[in-house]
Amino acid sequence: VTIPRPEHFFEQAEKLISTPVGGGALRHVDIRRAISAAYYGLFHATMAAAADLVVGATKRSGNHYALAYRKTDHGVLKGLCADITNKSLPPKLARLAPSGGFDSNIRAFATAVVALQLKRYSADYDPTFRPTKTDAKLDVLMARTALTAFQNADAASREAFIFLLLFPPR
Amino acid sequence: MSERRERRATEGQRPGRRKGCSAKDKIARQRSRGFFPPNEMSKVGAMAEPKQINEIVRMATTANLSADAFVSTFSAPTTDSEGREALEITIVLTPRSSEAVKGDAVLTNLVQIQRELQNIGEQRFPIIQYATQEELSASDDS
Repeated sequence: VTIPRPEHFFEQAEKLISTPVGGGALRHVDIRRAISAAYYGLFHATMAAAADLVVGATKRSGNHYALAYRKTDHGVLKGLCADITNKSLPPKLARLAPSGGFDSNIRAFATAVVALQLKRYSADYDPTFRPTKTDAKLDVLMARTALTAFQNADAASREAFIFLLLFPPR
Repeated sequence: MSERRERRATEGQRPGRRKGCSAKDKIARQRSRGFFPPNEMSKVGAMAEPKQINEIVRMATTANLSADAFVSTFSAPTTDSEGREALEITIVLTPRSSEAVKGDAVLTNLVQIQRELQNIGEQRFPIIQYATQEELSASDDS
């Protein structure tokens, strides 16, 4: 089963903000969609990592995999990431975080997720939002780097992040 | 007490220390540049001054992207999709400078700006937008 590939979202974003054939200005809607795609690359990468961990990457065609993939929504993802970017974790998360806290890769990833999700909402819904090509281009670069940071995070930090995302403590 | 020591005591200086070298002086210098030590956060308040924000953004961006790429920065209060206060920061770059920028630099810049804003007690999340002057001036009819 083919699940959405993060790299395809990033490539789609780059196509949207490449100079139009024959020159001319980019359309705002293309820049908006590029920013949105940069965020969705990270979102789908996170959902796949979560489902891979709790169900298994070899079971991607099963219903349980789809359930795990769809378990989390944007608000929960942003809430956890925002908590991680704060100077100190809330007590209910701190006791479940790795000893010594989340590593710098997860913290950088979390910061990028919050930033890109906020911009994604503006890009998708705010008619007064005036994105630029420069901004969209740097957002795509940042999203790619943030995904690499997530993949390079130490296993304890990444697993703790995924479990807190799927099973938020009460 | 010698006349010299007495004068120091009257001026509030401790004997044996040069003016401007105490921890208090260091903090004052940091404050004037827009930086506050973490244990001073509660004294600063929830919202930083635009001048402080701009200085943090300028220092981070010139270090992480490049001094040649940075033109200016400005910020404005805004709200996020859930109505929470946020900080919209625009960073103006020189034309074509973004072509040489790497993803690491953009992510590090965001992380550093957010952390340093937190260090001065600023709790609003920075929503950073990059643009060239030409893009900012362009009409929005496309």
